[in-house]
Amino acid sequence: MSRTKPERPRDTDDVTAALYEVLRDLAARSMGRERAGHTLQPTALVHEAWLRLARDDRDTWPDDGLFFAACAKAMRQVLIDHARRRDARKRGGDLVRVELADASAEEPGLELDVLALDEALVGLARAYPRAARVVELRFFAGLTGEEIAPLLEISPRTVDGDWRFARAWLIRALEAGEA
Amino acid sequence: MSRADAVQALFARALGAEAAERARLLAAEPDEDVRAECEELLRCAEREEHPLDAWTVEPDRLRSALEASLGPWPDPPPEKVGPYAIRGLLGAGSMSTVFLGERAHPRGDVAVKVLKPWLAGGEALRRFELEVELLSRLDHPRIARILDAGRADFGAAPHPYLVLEFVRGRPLDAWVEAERPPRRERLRLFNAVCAGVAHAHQKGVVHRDLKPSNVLVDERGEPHLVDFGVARAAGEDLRAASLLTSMGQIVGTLEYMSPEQAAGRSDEIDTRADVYALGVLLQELLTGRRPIEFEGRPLPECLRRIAEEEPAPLGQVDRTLAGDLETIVRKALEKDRARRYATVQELAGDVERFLANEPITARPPSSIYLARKYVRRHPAVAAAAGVGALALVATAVGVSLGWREARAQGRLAEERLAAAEAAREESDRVAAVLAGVIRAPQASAQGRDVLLRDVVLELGDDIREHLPDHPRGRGQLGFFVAQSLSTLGEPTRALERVEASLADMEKAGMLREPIGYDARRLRASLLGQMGRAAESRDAVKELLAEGEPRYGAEDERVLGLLLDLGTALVNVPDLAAAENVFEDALAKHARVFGGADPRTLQAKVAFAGLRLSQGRFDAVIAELSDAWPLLRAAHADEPHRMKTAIGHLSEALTATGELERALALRREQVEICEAAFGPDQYHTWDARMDLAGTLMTLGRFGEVQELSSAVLEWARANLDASHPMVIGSLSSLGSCHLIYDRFEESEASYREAIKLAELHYPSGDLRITTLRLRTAEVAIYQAKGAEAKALLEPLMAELDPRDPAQRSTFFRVRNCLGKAHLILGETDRGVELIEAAVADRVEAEGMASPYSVIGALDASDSFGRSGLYPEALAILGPFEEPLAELAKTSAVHLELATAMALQRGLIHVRAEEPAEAKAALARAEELAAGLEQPIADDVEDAFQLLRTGLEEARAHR
Repeated sequence: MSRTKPERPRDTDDVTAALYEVLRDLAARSMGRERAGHTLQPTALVHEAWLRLARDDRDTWPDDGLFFAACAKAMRQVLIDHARRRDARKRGGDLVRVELADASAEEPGLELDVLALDEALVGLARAYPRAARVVELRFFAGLTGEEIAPLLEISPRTVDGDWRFARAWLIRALEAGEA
Repeated sequence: MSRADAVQALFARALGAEAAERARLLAAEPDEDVRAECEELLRCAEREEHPLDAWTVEPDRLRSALEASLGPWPDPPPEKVGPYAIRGLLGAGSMSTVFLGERAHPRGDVAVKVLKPWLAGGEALRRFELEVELLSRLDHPRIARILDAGRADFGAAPHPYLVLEFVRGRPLDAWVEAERPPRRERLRLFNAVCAGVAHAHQKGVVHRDLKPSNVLVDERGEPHLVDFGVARAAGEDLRAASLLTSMGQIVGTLEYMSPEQAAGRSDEIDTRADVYALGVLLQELLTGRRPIEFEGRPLPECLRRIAEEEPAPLGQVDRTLAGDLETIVRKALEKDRARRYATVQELAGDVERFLANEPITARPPSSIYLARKYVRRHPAVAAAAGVGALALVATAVGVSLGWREARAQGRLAEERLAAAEAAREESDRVAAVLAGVIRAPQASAQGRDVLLRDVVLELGDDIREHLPDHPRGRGQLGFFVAQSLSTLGEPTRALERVEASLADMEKAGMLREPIGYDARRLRASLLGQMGRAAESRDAVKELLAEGEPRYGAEDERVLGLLLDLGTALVNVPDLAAAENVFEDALAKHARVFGGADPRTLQAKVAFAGLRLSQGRFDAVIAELSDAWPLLRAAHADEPHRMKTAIGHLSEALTATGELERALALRREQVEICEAAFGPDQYHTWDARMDLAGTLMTLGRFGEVQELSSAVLEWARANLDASHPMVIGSLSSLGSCHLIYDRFEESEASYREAIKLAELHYPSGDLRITTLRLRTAEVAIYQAKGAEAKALLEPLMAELDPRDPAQRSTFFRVRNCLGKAHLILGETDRGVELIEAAVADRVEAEGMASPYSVIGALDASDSFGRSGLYPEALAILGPFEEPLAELAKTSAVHLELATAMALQRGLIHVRAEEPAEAKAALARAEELAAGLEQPIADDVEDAFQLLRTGLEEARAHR
């Protein structure tokens, strides 16, 4: 399972580009395949992505940190992409409410606009790059604090502190955006 | 510090602080911007249940987010797809949406599956078309049929759809949860699913995503397979194969995913991937749980676990599933698909056979295969018990590596290379034997964690079979096997093996090599363990004479042999010689290795064995207690090697009355073994057995009985029928029964122990003799004189009173035989034997020995019971004066003197001599007043008996 091979380090963005296609396809196909199965967890998607890439590209990952960072970025991109598509359809004016028993019911608690979040994260990353990475790994790669710590080479306590700070920062940014 | 850092730092400190402290921190901040931003952020931090929190790994929320971002499709649903009227949504497939549709002719419900538009180009479309093609090959009542396929307009472009038979039913897991069918019904249902999958396989279709939600159970309880969305064609369908390779293989649900799927080895995915998924399904059907649960685990971990984790055997999840069903599930879930059922029919066939109570075809895996898995999970056990098994592998690999290295360096002279080459060939052979054992099916290791002992034995058998022309390899392997057996408490078998191995080594000219020397040393030590002390001593002496000049007087081997010699001398016994040897050995160990070295500590332990035999208990306690922390540390990974040390120390503690400490020691050992090996391994049970022994000396027979029963049950289930542990636990159960006057049970336990001991130990072994003696004692308690006599007479002939090791047993046998004669009314012979037994013991151990006194008390009791009052009093006479003298200084003798006065009194009561009885009672009371410890129960009883007897006598008069 080792991906550690130092010869061909790549830039996170290169990897992200490669992952993007994979993730988009996987995310799309995961929709509705399970009611609440693992395939919908971001970790699951990241994992599947890894499996798929690992087949041909097993030795190209310099380390776990880079891989997960790349995955998180790609996942973020997938979500943004879909959100933009939805917005485009909205603007097209063909939005009609459907009454279908099994239709994906909107979760009341989750009104978060992916695009707004993305924008806020860009802002956060400018002043607090490490805290932004924590958020990205947490949101888009589904990793826990314990998992994030070794990837960023910081302690779980620091991860926790970064998260608390980033959360407050993002809430402020999102509310400022709404106003 | 940058401004940003200042903000974050202040935020961190203030967030965790109380209100007052927070205010103080903020007020102290000189930079107003920093303070203002921080205050604002702190306010935001107070916000609870913000949508941001939902971005953690909550799948439902993420799903909504993702689905919201993808948008529903089609939106709104169409009224018609082709000729089918749409009535509602059934669900969203992996690439498609499934609607409930209505067909006009013939009228009925159908399922209409439509590809999502953003996937309608390229690979996804081809996959959709492939599904249509694969489904149209299939025609089976257990598979939802394809009815139609086509293209329909959805505003923009023509869009592919397919129409399937609509199954009105519930997913398998939900159905089972609601209906709770009995086990046979579940198995029948499972086989119906298998029938559908088998049909697909016959048509060259692998489902690849079998799971409960893809099996719908209709109202009649019949299952239907649905969703062939990720199915692939097996075999020669090149078009499908190439298509799917480029699509990537990671489809399917993790819990049901075979290791080859999880590893993305697409070329290996065949019908056996479905067999694996069916195995998971079967376990879930039977237990409600999947073999490996991933709930909430990070996915890289899940992947690793699919590849590596051995699921718990079914029998451990549910005891009633041990046996055939466990074997069936295990075979379906093999990590290596070559070990799985080759076809679904074979799997279903075994389930069928199970239902019909016929033998199944799957065999439980061979024990060494299980052992290898076990060793991987429990490295401590491997270190402890697997000496042989691991050494074997090490030999094979080591020799092979050595050869490779030699080759690579290319510096070796020709002849040395030739020698290395020969060694390599040998190691290949060894490896071949190992591989053979690993592959060999073996029926005995049903489900349980395999005992390394089984592996070792299996290995032993294979050596003889597979290395007929290689005495060197055979000798080597045989030695390792013998070593393991010795560690595992089987000296008899170990001795057999090492002797066979030595014969091989002799043929191969290895006896003078270090390994030959070690094998001979093992044999010598085993001889000692088998009670053949003199032979052991001679063998060790021979080895020392040979080894000292060869290896030097301070060689580790030679020093170890000195300890062996000392121990052999203790057993002979020749304590004076042993003392010299040990003193020399201990000094050398300390000098060569240092005082804290494990080898020096072992020397101390061996020395303590001598001190114990000398009765110098305080020395044993002092020396071992001193070394204890070091001993524990040295054997942290191999706690079973503390066995001897714990044995010595607790025996000494018992002898000096520190029973609770001895008990604590035994209990601690059980706990340590449990932690190191697990609750169910040999050494742990061995420690429990020792604990039972100590409990016995404490008179806690209830606990002994409980523990011994458990030991017996485990040993019977896991070890050879005649393993020493079986014999030992039967024997202690026999003693417990005797204590509670359950004579029949006691006799039965002893008799069974004898039967097994006769199988295990060589004839004439002292352990068999002792068991026969105990059985005879039970007979005496029941006044079965003839029976006891029949048991004892052969023993009298067999035992040699001149052999110090047998002497004590001889006295007991003679005494017991005397009692038998008394019971049978053969008074003269009885008295003669008993008196001789007492005299013999006095001669051997002296008048002052507590054992001599107890022997006399016992004899007096025997005579008294037979009405031989003068004899009963006479036998006590010679002891009374020396005992009175000793009682002034020794508590033990004071107690014995009290007991003896009581015994005298009791005889006088029976002989109707009340005046003498009264005098004896007064004497006993006088003695008892000097006792510091409370009077033992049986002495108290004797007092009671005597007082009552006197009162009765008075009343009688």
